[in-house]
Amino acid sequence: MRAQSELQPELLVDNIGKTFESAAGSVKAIDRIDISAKAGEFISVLGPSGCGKTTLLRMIGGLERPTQGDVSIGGHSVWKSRGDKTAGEAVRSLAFAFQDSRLFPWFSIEDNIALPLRLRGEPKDKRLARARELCALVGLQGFEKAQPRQLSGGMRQRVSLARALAIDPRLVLLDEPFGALDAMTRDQMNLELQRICKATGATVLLITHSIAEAVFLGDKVVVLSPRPSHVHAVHEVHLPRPRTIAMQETPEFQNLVRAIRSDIAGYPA
Amino acid sequence: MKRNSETILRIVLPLATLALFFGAWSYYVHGATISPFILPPPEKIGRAFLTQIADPGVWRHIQVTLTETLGGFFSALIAGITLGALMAKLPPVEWAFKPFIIALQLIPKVALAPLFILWFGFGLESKIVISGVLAFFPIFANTLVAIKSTDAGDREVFASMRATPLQSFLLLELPSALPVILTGAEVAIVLAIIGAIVGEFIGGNAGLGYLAVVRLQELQVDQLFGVILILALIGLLLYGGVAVLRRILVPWHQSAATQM
Ligand SMILES: Nc1ncnc2c1ncn2[C@@H]1O[C@H](COP(=O)(O)OP(=O)(O)OP(=O)(O)O)[C@@H](O)[C@H]1O
Ligand SMILES: [Mg+2]
Repeated sequence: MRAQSELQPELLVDNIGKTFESAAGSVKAIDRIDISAKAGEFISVLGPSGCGKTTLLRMIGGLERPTQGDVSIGGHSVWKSRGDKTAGEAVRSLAFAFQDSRLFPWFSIEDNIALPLRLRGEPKDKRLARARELCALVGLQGFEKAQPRQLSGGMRQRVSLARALAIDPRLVLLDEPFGALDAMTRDQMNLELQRICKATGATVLLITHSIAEAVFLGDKVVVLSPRPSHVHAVHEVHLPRPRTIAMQETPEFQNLVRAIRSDIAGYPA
Repeated sequence: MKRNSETILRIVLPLATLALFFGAWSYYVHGATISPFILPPPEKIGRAFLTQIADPGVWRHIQVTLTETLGGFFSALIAGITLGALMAKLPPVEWAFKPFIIALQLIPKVALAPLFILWFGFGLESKIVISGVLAFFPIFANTLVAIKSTDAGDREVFASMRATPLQSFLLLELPSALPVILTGAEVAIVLAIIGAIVGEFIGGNAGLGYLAVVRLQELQVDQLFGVILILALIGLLLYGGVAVLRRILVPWHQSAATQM
């Protein structure tokens, strides 16, 4: 049994596709995408703007119904058996963090972080204890009672990450979480994210527009084609962990970045 | 330095305007361009104001008007938020009732006041109803629009956390709509006062609107001005109360910092 569950991928995106129908006509956003990830693996997804990355994430997370294919998380189907218990099970243990931090100004930092637990009916003392724990994990001790507007963009993004981790997700979906940050803060956040991922052992799917970020964080980098998208290339990253900022200067790192850049340059016009 | 002189000007200029206004007023009245019977001089109105607020009989009228206004305002607040929220969340309810609420809004509601007197009598109840009917619409309309226009990205966050519709309503839609609902309440409180006064004008035996009519019939114009001054102060007080409510309820919102 154990051996079998280890063979089975934690996340399986199987032949998934999406065509949007609207009054103005239909838009085929995703032609076909397959991705598989082992438990604890970190997958980076790169792709041109509008190729359907956010749509892909929403389909994995149970927020958007695919027009073709299915997703399974820990062996539970997200879409095939919607409505029965296992479908709920599949999406119950995953969490999102979005491009903009999306904190709620009427909640304090700790209440923002504890929100997913509140929605699950956890008692107040328990969820606040967890929020304090997570504040420490993302380096925001002392800001538990602060208001979101008192925090910088980078700090808010950490809170957003902490909120995603509140439920102890087995799968974390990140949609360009650091896209709005400056390069220095971004390097810092990438180091933090690496540390946090190691600490939690979650499987992570990260969407990014930065090739360097994708390589720095990923065990695998999936490059998507322009719309209607399919998987254009997959690169394994064999750099040792924990990775350091200095590693970005190594030939190995730069070769990978170059290879991915030429993938992207090689898109059909 | 620049800031300093600006601060001084910001205090001095409005005072100068006020002085100019009262100066011109005194000048015209004492210069007998205008009969003091039609427009009493400011100091006489001041005296009339002071004698009236020293009069316990007047305080009874103040109490009546306040009761009517607040009764109407809070009924409108409860009804407006409830109906606005219901229609925002349940489209069939909106389809069923909204055309009629809009149609009712198009009637000059003050014209309904005599009817309400007929139905609810000459006491407090009829004034509370008139005041409430006037105050209802801005609260209702703002609640409806504000809840419907909850940010799609914020909704997505709640959806991604598998929030139930009730949880989304209580923890997302209502709090994010609150600043706009309070803006409706600021309009509503002023309308609520108007409603109470109009009710007292046409069918009252108590309250400041009634008192104003009595003073007019007694041809005590300075006293009439005194009543108007009291009404203005009540308006200021109640509007200020809503602003305080805003600071308490939505301290996180821009509007709480910029108000007054
Ligand atoms: N609800 C929708 N209805 C119709 N079309 C949609 C909808 N959502 C997305 N699309 C279309 O699907 C395509 C992919 O959108 P998506 O947001 O997934 O792109 P993306 O890869 O995340 O882009 P970006 O990198 O700019 O964030 C776009 O062409 C978009 O217009
Ligand atoms: Mg996107």
